[in-house]
Amino acid sequence: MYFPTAAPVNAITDDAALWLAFRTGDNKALGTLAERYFVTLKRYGLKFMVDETIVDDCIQDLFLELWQNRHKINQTPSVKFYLLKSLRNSIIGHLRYQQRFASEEPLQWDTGMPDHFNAESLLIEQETLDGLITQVNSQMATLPKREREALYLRYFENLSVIEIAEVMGVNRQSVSNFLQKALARIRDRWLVTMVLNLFFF
Amino acid sequence: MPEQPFESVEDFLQDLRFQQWARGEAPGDKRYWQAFLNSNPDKVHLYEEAIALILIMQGNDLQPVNSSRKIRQIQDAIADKVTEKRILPVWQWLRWGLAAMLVVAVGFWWSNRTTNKTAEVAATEKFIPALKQSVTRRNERTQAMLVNLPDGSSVLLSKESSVRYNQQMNGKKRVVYLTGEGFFEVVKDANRPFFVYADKVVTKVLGTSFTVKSYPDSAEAIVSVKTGKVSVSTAAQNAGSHTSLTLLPNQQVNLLVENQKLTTTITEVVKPSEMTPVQKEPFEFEFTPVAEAFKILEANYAVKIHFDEVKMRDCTLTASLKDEPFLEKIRLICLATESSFQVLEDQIIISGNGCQTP
Repeated sequence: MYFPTAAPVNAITDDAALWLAFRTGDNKALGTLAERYFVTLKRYGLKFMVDETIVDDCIQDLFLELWQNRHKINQTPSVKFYLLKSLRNSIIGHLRYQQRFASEEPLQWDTGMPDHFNAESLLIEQETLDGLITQVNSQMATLPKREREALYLRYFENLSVIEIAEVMGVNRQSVSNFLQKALARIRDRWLVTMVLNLFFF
Repeated sequence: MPEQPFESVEDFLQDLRFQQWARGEAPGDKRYWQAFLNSNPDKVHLYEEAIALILIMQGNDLQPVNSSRKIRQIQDAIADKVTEKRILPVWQWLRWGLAAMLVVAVGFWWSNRTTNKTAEVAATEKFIPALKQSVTRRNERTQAMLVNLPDGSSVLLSKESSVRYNQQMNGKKRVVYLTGEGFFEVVKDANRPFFVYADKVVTKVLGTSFTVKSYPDSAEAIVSVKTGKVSVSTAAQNAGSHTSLTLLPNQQVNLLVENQKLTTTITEVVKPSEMTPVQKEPFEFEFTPVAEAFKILEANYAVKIHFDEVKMRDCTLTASLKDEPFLEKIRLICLATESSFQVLEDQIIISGNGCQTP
């Protein structure tokens, strides 16, 4: 039998316990959650290509508001989902205000890539990985921003389709479509590679 | 070794353990994945593709340079909320310091007289960097409550209302978050616009006085201008009309959010019956005895002003203070009567040697 590592399962129940503790007035519990999710939140916030200080402010405000409204907040099935959703709203609010409500869709999505990947630590040859990333990235570059975001939330932050729909404020079907479309592109690419491999090797 | 089928890239992407490994969060799993790849050579390309995808999604990852410092800041900010009552003395010291600084500045400028408060100011300044986080002031009383903001502006909070602001307020804009109703008198600073964020409206000004009313449990929001010019826009994210409108003195806008729709009504001249007392008050003084002026301030700002009635009986005031925040009014009165002042919560203590009658 295959079992995923025990860590994430514990983390989830632990989250729920911390959330409950925070709601009943334990500020250390909220501090622990802030510590646990700060990097996740910041990484997600920076994807919207806003200034780092704004992301930091939004995150801090988010936790302060949670603390102040602790009596009104319910238990949540996923703390991470709740936090990501709140941060997204807070950044949209900020951008909407800055742009004086001009644009319908104020959110950007950063598709920049780092200069270097440590392939070895991921058990891949450096050349193979560099090549793959260049290819797949150019394929993904044609995807709209919101589909990139859905992909990120699904496979990088491991949110469910239902949660992604709620975070992004779209219906579930659209999220499924986003993901399907994105993955179809990759599958197509993979088929092409397979066919080429058949021809050349 | 995993017995997961891993028939497609998606199978990898959906696997929690794989996600963590690809993100570099589970270096201890190296042997696990090495074993998997060794015994499933046909799945190596799926694995590689899935790794590439996760790395692309991750993209430019942030450098966790100062995340621990930021986390501590958040934790401190939350902790301070708990002990807000206990840090009040420090806050009082800060206000004391600001008051003292004003007095010192005025003293130097006015009569080139030195005071022994300089050392005290220097001591108080040390506290300021420690007070970086935001402050919330809530009015739990039944009457109005005065809040003096760090930039010298003032808010007269109605009951069941609160404001939140940064204790330093030294950014490019001055920002106050309001829940409920407040009458704002803003210090002029053309370089640093003053914003009031309420749940339904956002009001931007450079320096003026106005009322914002936006209770969360009401569908209506009101912005009403006493002096100067303010610009109002909606705070709702999905509101249909993304406009901002400009209000002039005695104009009022009512925003009504109903069924996700926003309707605005502009009242050209606000009827005095609809004004709050402080909005009606002209604060025009002409040879007014200071005692009388203080009485008007006390009535409008729900504060108590202590002064020596005997010493100051000859002091009169001629000034138009309609457009000034509360502390500025006090400062100007003190300037005119050669006295100084201290602020302790809602108590103002004026000390002066009185005015000479010519």
